Amino acid sequence: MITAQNENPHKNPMIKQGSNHVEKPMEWPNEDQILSLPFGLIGFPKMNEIEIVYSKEELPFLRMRQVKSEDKLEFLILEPYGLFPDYKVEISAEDIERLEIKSEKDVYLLNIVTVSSTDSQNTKITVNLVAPIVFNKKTLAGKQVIITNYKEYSSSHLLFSGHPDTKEEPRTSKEG
Amino acid sequence: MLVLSRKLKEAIIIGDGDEKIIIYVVKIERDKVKLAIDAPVEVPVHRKEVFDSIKASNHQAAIGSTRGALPKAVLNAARKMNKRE
Repeated sequence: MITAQNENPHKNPMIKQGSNHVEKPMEWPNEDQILSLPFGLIGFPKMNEIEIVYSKEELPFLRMRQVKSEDKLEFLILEPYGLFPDYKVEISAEDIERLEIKSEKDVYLLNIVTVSSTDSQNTKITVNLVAPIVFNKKTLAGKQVIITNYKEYSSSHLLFSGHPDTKEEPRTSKEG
Repeated sequence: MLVLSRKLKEAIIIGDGDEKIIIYVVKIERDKVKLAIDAPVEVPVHRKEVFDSIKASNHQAAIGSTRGALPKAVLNAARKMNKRE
């Protein structure tokens, strides 16, 4: 069993940054490192080579980008560490074999974020806790894994719902 | 679609080369069948309804090729989430 209770999740973060210089949010991967997803993502089998980037204003969201491809798919992702301290992931022996995971210390988890509504009055953002992308830090390879304890979590766990604009943009009148 | 009848402890083999998939009927009770699947490591096996829901979730999550700025509502939500930590 692998938990999101990483001892030092942000101790030595190394990741390519976007527009702003900030303390790097991730302990891994290294800057400019291209990571492989030999199996792609579920439904996106050709999402095989990726990089993870972020910019300060988008945190805690990171972006996972397809590289070396014409398609250039992109996903919002996040580190479960810190956000879901009780998140416990059970990975099948087959997936552990596929990822050549020898130690829990080599595992790094990322979860895919879905923005299902950007209505300024009711923004809805969810995160997939059923199928994290599990990386082996030693091999730089990862796989989207359907966890064996999938019944304990939701593929659309509510992360944010409501009115994100209230403080930043006070409105004097309602639209429509 | 090929349809086969199998009894308890019988199996089917998919593929006839080195990379065979073997599916055994391990247990039958009422409306439930327990299967054991022996597949090559490069062939992931999933429960279809779980696989379908993850596939749908991934398709909804994909941002596509624009690489543009996030919607302002999402940036504001991110800011609020950061404050909460």
